[in-house]
Amino acid sequence: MNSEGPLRPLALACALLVLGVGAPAARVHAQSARARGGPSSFPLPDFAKLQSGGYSGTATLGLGYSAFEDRLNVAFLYGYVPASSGRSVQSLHFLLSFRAIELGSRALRWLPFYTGLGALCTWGDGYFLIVPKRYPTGYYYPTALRFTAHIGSELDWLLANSAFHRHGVYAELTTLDVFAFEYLKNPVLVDVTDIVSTSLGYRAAF
Amino acid sequence: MRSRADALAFVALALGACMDPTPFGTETDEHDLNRANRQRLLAKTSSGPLRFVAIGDTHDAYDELLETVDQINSIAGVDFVVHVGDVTNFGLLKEFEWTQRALSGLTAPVLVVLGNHDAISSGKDVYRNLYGAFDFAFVYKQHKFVLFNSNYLEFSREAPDRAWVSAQLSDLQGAESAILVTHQNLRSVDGPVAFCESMIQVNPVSLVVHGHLEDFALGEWNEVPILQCSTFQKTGIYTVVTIMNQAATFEVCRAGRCVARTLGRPLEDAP
Repeated sequence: MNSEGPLRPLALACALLVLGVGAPAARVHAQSARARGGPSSFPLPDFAKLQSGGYSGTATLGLGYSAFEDRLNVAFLYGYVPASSGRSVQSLHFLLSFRAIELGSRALRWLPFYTGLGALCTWGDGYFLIVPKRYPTGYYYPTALRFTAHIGSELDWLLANSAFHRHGVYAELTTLDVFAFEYLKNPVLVDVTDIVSTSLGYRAAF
Repeated sequence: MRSRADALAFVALALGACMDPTPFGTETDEHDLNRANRQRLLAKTSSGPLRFVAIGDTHDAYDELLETVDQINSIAGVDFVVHVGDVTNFGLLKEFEWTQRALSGLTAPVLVVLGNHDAISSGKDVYRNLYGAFDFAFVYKQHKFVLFNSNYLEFSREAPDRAWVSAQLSDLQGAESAILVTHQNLRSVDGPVAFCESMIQVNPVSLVVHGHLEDFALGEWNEVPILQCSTFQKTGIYTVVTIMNQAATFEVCRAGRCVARTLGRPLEDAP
């Protein structure tokens, strides 16, 4: 049906998204590493993530970079939702998190509240970043890209003699641009639990 | 102590919210609602005139739709409600669920046609799960209702299914005439206009009901009455159609107030 090569512009746009936001993030990372007096490890990531929920997927794997003493995180997640009666979903979620509040000690650290923004990209029949030419101008908005916002809390700790520098568990609440809009527009029918997805995850810093 | 209370509040909120893995999913809690509502309708024993409510293009006007459901429930003798499509903006599962949440308050059975906005993103799969087949027909009170997908751009011009529509119109199963219900404007010069024109010229079609266009219109095309429902999201309009002795009367309603309308001048082909 809608199969006239939507993957090519989508893949290009996703690559641009990654490069466009990833490159400045890499610079931030390198500057941060230099500020700490050590060599930049880029392009090796600073942490890996395993997550479920948060509109990113049932099972989500991600890599990311930290900067400014871990107060700024940039993560790139790949998520998968298996099909049962519908079709499977794959998505890429780019996330920027601001983690300014930190409690506890170096060995056991609690980030009670952090917040961030994201861009969520998917692909397949019916999804497009550039509206196909068969539609009149202004007929549709792009369907393959949505923007997200999240808040979260993380508890992490140092482990001696571990392959990972720091282990952490986190919980986040994520909302989607269109869902938040509909919540504001339809205060009677749309409930807050309709527009928020919880995620639970594990973060290992290298 | 305060930070501990904040943490507990956060955990409680996190547990209370759902762990929705994706906004692009297609799994629905309810299935095949059009079939279930057809069965409810056909089980009715009403002997009065045929009366149904037509509404369309509700998009994201969920709160307004919720209010309108109460207004429709207060109209006497409504056999069923037909939604001529565009129950969403982006074809997302959550949007279908919100519309269905509002429509579930209707006391009369409701039948939903696929709109073009419902056919983007994963909307085709969500619609199939939630409402069933894109095309379906039934006979009620001597009229054969033919509800079909006419979103030709979203289906690479494979919609409407011409063979299926032709077969439905060539066998009225004992009905006196057919009533076509679809989303797209059949008069659109870019659409399957020639096919639709030929269908209504050679078959006993007594009414065409469609949505998609913003304005309300009631007129004739090739001597067949056409009800153009208008975009409810913009106009708040729904229409009560009553058919008695092969004559249709129309009441155009907004915010619970209804005004009788007669067929206007012949409708021209829309751009």
